[in-house]
Amino acid sequence: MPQASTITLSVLDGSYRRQATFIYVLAPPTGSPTISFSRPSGVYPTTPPTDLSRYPFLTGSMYNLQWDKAEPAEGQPYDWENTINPILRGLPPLTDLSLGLQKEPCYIADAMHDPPIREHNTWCDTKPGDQPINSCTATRCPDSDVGFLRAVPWDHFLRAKRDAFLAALGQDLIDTGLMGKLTIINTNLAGGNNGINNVSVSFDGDCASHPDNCMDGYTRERLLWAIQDELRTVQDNFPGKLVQIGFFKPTDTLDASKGSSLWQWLYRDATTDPTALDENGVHMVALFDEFNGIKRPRVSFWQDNLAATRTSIPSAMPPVSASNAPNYIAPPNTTAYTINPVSSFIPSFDFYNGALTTETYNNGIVFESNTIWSNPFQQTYGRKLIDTINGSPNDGLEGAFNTYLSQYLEVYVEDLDEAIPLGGTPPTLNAELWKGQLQSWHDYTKHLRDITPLEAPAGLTVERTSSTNNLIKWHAVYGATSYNVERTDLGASSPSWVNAGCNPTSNTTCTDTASTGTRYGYRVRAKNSDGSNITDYAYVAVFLSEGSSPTNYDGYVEKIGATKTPYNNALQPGIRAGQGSSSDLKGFLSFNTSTLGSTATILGAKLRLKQTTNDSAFDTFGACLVDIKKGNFNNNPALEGMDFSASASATNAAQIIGVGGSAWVESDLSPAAARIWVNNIDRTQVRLSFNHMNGFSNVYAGWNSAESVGNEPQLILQYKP
Amino acid sequence: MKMLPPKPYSRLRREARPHSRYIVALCLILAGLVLAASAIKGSQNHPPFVGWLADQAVYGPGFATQYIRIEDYDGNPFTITKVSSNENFYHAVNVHVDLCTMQPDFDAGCPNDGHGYKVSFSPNPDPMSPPPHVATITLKAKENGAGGLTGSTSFTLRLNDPLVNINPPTIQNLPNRALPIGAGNVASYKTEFVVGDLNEDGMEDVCLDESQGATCASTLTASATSDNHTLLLDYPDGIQIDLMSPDADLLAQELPRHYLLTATTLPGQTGTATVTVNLTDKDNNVTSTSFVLRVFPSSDAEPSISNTSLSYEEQVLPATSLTHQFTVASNDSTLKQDLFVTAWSSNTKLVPNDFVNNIQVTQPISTGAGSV
Repeated sequence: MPQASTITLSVLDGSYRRQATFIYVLAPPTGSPTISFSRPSGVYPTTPPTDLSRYPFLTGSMYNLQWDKAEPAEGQPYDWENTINPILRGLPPLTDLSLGLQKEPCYIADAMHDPPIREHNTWCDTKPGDQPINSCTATRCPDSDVGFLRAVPWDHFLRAKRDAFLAALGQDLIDTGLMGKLTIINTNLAGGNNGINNVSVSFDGDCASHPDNCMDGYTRERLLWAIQDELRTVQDNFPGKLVQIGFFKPTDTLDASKGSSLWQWLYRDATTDPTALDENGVHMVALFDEFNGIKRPRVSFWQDNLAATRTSIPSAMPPVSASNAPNYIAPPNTTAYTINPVSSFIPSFDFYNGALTTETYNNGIVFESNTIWSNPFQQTYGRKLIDTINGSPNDGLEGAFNTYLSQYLEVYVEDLDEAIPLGGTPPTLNAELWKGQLQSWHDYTKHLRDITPLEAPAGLTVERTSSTNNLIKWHAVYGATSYNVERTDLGASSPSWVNAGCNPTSNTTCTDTASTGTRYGYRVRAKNSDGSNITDYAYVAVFLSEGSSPTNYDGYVEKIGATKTPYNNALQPGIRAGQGSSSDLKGFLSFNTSTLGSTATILGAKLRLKQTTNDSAFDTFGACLVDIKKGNFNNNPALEGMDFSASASATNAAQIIGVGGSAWVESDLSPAAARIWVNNIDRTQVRLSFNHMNGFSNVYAGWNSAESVGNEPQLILQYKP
Repeated sequence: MKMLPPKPYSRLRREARPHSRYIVALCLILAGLVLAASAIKGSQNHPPFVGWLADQAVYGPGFATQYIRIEDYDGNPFTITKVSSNENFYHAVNVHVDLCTMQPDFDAGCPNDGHGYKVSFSPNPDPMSPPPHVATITLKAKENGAGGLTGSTSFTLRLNDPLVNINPPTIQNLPNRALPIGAGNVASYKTEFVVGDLNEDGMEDVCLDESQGATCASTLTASATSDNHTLLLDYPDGIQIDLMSPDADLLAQELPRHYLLTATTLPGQTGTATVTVNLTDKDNNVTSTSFVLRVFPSSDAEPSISNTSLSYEEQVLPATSLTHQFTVASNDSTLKQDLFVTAWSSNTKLVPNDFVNNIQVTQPISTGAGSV
């Protein structure tokens, strides 16, 4: 892991000591996993200073946009001109904005509070802090003299309004040309308490017996869905920006039944848990395996509790007759600094039980100072003083970097004024040293930005959109100004990479004309404006199901009694699953994934099918279940009756939901299933079925088979060759 | 989000002076809550609401009276009961919960709308083993009929042992300081320092109701001494220590904690004095810290060190060493010794401070080459 040390140079003339510092960083080579992606970086003030230009050691400004200020009432136009737009326009050159998103409008809770109360959709926040709801008089809790009703984070009305707000904000910044000034978005879970935490919220499924600040209707699945929806929506509306979310250590009472603590459960690899279904009954992923730089860009977790302290050793004071050293006693007169928080309060570190591996650093950790170092907040038990005494912001920055690879700190303006005194006032004792140290971190984090883009595009996918076109899409990469897109025909005898004819700069899509094959690979890399920084390639391939003559490997099998009959090259829908007239139907797909090669590693997989029937089968039987076979069902690539009950490599590796007729549906295979069961040296076959229910006939779902040119079933693989 | 911070306090000026230059090379060789309400939504019956009471810790008899809100929003009558987790220390019967009466001279803070209650505490008559003792008191309000739903709140009563040294105060290090004689032919030095105490001595105390005899005065005592009375007299003659005014936004029971030390030397005197600041809490725990105050004629000057070329240095493995040059300077006509340069690392796992193999400093050539 990269490690930093602050080197202090000190000169003593017998009377005075003067000091200067710089930071020394020893880093692994570029491309090492822990430094392969961009984290939020820089030194920001917790609130916008009056004159940012006075603080050359600041990367930019922090600004908290309050949703309720931008949208005070439902249905009114968003007010950006009195909120964020002037802030962005006022930023000095070479500075940027770290944007916080806070609070929610009164009308959200009002809509649930106005009779009749929407059962389970509100909770009573008796510690609202600076939430705006003290002005939401209509939402006072009926049974509390200090509490206010708020929507639960997973309420669909709240989420719909939140998503609309985020989309409108993103569009405003594009329309006004201000998006470029925005680098970091620090979002919070609306309906929560400025983040995911239970400082004042009981995430508890048993509100009847544990009512204090309890969120009625709470389940882990609902909370996770709300977090995911927030993060996905932010990423989708602010492409290429670094996203962080307020994320503290929440707990609930479900550890025993769920087998893990709430925090670990939210962060875990949910794909290995067959019971992990989201609100729509779809097999879900948790934060670790969604925001991993492959499926989606990574995110960072923000906390407001960074502190560092040094314990004094007064007896070791050297016999220096005088000194004008800053008000900070350096080693050996104090112990080495210690920092808070400890690793069990950091999501990814807690998930790995503190073990320091590459995976531990999969997501960024960012902080706000716990207090003003130079003049700590007075708080019960003096804790903030105890945690910061004799420490400095530099201790916090260095400690957080060395421990969590944190590169981002929000510092209170009072400490910045400690570094740069207000105009006309004399410098303070700490000023000279703190100024230099903050400048060092400013400069180093600027260097980290200057070497971007770092990571290959995440979420790379390709869709066969017609008989002649493939549409390639990916998520924007922080620091990228253009992309290279190359194609290879995986069905060719000697596949080679050629430019796909589009190297987009302003978007992250490419439509490639590719009409001759059934197996295409694409690779995309990002680079900066002068091409000095280029990422590795991300790879994706699309395989069309093998259905056309002479193979006829996809289709469906009908089972009547003991008789199993294969139907390939059938009338559309060529792929069917469900129940026929006194029969059961299972669909089959076949993909020739052999040309990936034995060295390929599968990073992600999804099926893409075009549904041609209505949703009655899904409404009746639930989700369609996906079995996967590494190789051929019944050891024969051809569609056979025996395939109906042949063993599979993995059952229920994915689920397909109904999307209505003539609509495409995509279903992710779990990363674990994809990694293990997609066959890189032979075929990969798929079986689709529903759970049988007695009493139904001719209730089945249908999808186009390979005979429907341009609508073929597709297997889309992210891979590393 | 945080509370509003205390107002910043400006400290002393450092003077800038011209310099002559020496070149020094530095070579680094690197090796290696319980909250106040609940909410049950819907049309069903609700349990009574029981408010919140603060925990209390005292060193002798007498817990402070507090006020609480107890109400059934459905209008059902209820019965209040009390439970003590430690009857050997504090009987529940000694907790008195009485509907607030309109006696503003005595119960000014008592909610006077028919739902406010005064919670007071009788001295516990039982003989006890030596403190400390802790009891959790639970107040329950149970509906009479109407489903019999119960609301409750809990708080702790703690009797500390006044003889037990629990935690001494914590005091911020004070740096050594040198300053010239100034106006009035004296040197005047001011510095702020902060004090913490995990027992909250000086930051509480039981000030909830002064009418009950509790005091809100500081229980921390600050003083200071000088070891050179020719230069600087002791507290309070030469050294003053003042409690800084509380910030209006902060709660009274969290004060005091910030102090201002002012040292004023005797006229025309120069030299050094070691100033020792003593903080004593109510448990007679004493914490001290010292700093050296040097007063010099105004012709003395300070050295400088410039680091203009280097803000940070990142090296990529397998690189293991760094050489950095910087400049030190002094034009001090009364220089007491050659300039002496040291360097150290904050991260000894990365750069150990052994000053032999890992950090080497070449001293100014003009005053004799050397290394540490």
